[in-house]
Amino acid sequence: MTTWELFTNGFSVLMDPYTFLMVVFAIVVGTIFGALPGVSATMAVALGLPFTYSMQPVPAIVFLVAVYCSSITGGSITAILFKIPGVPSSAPTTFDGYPMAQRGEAGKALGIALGSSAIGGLVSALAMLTLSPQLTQAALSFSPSDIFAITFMGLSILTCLDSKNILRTLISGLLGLLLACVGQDPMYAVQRLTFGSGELIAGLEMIPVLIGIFAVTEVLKQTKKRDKLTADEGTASVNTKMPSFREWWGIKWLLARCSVIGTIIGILPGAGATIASFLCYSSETKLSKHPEKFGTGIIDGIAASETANNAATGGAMVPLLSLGIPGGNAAAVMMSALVLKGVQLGPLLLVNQPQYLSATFASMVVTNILMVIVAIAIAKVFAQILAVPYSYLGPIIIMLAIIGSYATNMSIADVKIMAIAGVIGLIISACHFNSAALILGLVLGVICEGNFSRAYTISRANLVNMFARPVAGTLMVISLVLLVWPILSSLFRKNKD
Amino acid sequence: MKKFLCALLSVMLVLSFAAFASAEWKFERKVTIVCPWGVGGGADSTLRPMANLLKPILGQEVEIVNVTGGNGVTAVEYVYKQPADGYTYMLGTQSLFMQDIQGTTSMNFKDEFIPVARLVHAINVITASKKAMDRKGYKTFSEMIEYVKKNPFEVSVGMLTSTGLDGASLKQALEGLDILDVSYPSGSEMNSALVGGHIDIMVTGTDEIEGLIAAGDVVPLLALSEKRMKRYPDVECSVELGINSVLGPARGIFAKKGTPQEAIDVLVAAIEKASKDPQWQAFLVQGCYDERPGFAGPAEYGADCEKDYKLLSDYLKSEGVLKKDYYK
Amino acid sequence: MFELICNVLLWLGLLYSYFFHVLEAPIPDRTARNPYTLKPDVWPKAIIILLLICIAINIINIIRKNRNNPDFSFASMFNINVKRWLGMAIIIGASFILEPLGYMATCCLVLFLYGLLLGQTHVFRLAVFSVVITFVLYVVFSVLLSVNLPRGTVEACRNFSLYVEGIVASVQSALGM
Repeated sequence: MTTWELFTNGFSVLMDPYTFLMVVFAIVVGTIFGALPGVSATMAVALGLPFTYSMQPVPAIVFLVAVYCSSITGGSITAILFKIPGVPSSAPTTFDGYPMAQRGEAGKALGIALGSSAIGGLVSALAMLTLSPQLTQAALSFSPSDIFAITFMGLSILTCLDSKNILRTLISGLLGLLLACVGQDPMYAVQRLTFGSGELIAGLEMIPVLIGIFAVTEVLKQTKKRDKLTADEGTASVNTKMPSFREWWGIKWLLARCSVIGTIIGILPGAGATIASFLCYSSETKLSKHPEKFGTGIIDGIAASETANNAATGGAMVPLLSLGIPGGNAAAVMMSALVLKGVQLGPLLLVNQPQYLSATFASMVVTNILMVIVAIAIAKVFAQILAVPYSYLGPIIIMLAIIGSYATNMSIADVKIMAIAGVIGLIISACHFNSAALILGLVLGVICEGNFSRAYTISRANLVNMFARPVAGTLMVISLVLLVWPILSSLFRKNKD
Repeated sequence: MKKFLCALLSVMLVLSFAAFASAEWKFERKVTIVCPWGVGGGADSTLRPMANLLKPILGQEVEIVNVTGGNGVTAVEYVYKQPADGYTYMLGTQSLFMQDIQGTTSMNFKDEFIPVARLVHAINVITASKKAMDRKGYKTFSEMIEYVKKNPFEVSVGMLTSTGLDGASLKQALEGLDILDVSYPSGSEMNSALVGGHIDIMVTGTDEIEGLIAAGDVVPLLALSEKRMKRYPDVECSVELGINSVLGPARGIFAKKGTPQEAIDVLVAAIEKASKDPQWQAFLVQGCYDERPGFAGPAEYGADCEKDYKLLSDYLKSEGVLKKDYYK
Repeated sequence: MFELICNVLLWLGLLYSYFFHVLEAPIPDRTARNPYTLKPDVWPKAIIILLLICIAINIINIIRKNRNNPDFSFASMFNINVKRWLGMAIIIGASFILEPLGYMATCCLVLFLYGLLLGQTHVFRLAVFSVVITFVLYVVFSVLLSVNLPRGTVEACRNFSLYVEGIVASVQSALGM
């Protein structure tokens, strides 16, 4: 089948009015699920499963893809308005989105988030349709040492996150890496750093730590001596002014870069949307002409994170459809839906039944366009909540944080971890550490250590062999330069003074 | 008011329990089955179709709750905290036994939980990467063994945590050979590493890689079973080669100790009925679970669990990581 | 001062962890025998060593910067907001009563107490608000999203949750869902 035939074939699936209605329904519920803390994209797709029991396999995957894409987008709404990332992959969106909302520019922040989500999603959908076989081969050629090099590069950007405070940022990042080691180690199930606590054996889940350090710390910071303003009025009036065309034009290359990086990260099994958005956020900080503005509320930060996490959705579908290997947890749920329907997944699927690819593509295109309209409407409803007095809103955020961290694993231990993380968040800001760097370390820690360990074994404990590969070698050299240069240059500057 | 309501309610509950104690058990609200692994995984995909079939038989909603983390320990702790009233069950595999004897659960799983019924019993298969095979030049299991003997620490084997079931299976099959263990956190990462030729062989169930085998990217070398598999009649099985390794993941339902026997009896009868349903039979064929008998009642499943417990205890003891020894 | 103490405590804590808590269970024999595996303690130990170095430099920096700072004393430590302490106590307390009391009671209490803490003066309105929001969140998460919120282990709380679940189930079946 030619690309054009695939294209028309896919949209013909969506011409069926029932399927189309189901997709619209999926976008609405997907966005709301995504916006609710504790309901990750994976959970949203799992919640959509029962609806597919009565569907044919192709409409079923179309429906689930729509839920998946829109839930990743929905996460940005609460991230911007309340500093609670609705889905983990929206965590970097809070860095710039929340300060913007506090300045009363919530409308612009949401506009950028939704628009760049759509762009990321569309680019990756197009890549999936046209380049699936090539992308699959590329993903398969990534060895553990290549994946380690990618994540290591993400970590090496740490030193650039806050150029005035390199040492403290470095400490925060390392602390994050150390926290990722808590619990049974992923390779040999040996307990580490649990201090005898049974509740830590499962390790530190990312979601409770995220919610604690972002949302709870923020509420605690707002808990000050009687403040007439916060008690009786809303925090900010919501300005619904949308971003201008000029602002969009200014970030065109950023959008292009993040779409590509996001798609590639999405393809790698074990990585996914969260890692994509963190990596793009930190690499855009490095590439930016004004890195010091990141984190203070600029559109570049929001665009980087949201473009990347939606681009990863298309990436995640590539190995699922072309190999039968899910590119992430949400894709695994879709796989189980297809398996239940008797679809034989594997490399032969695309050869024998290309309509799965084309229909997924059509669904992603429609979802990413309609989603913007639906999400703006939903965001307006959520934004009304901001007008609620803080003495009501604060407690609700605390409760959402508790439910959100409980819901992921039905684990009381996670709620305790969340509460403690909230307190630690305060200490971190009192010590001028960098919570973004800490989270980056925590997110990348497990995948970084695991792949290093695997690469080490496969290359038979030979570090030179390990990185004597084109991708891994180049990336490692770049990362080392990135890591060492800011430290050296700050030393030189000091000497000159 | 609230207190009064609660008191009234508890009285009613007690009365209703008393009324049903003698008669046959009837489920009165939704039944929860806890799955220790995530949505979309093998365990979850086994449980969901079964839950759908159980609904009409029990006349109540059967809800799957995924409580993940800690290689299943989080779920065990969760179920342990629920009252043993016959409304909460959990899915278990040998992985939970291994966590128990490694001392990561706060209670003795073996004593506090009882096997109710087995749903499926899969066969573990040693599969090889086509790319790596072409590079290293072996074609069958025996040739691979020869290769490993000539080139120690050259062949890498993928598995999901080396102290898990896969590790035990592998140790039995490749006793005494110098191989490189490479653990993966998820099946999908391992499968793509195998297809990409980054690892040479792996131990796994066949359900998730059937498509890859059909396309020729992954080649089955040895089935760890008593008989050759129906779907791969050309692939040797371990027993015919004189290898004593038939361990395969068995997924079954467990109940907390103290659960009313009447409730368990009703549930077992329901599972037995559901497993004869043509829909379930079709699922077994599709998931490659039809190679070994699936359903087993409490007595048979209990005996199997006991056997696996002993075997896994011996394995972990030989690795020096056994904490709880039930066979002292 | 607070920063200095935190850093010193962190440094000591890390040193202690390095020696006693990096590995808390034995390494499997096969792994220990294989010369080509990365033992599970290498990675965390490397990170701790890097951290010990970085934090030591940080401590020296803090001391050097504050050598002539008059505010740098133990007294400034206690200049901390009381409300914030109470806020932390409520949140941590909530995470501990969630299991015994279950979702319903915890949610009502947290909403009410934290509302008071944030300076809400209309006590009656706040109480009504707490109950209503508890109910709304219950409907959203438990009914619509089928998240099993904790029922509580205290008999009264558990029975009340079961009672509510019973009502929800009968409403659902009446609506034919």
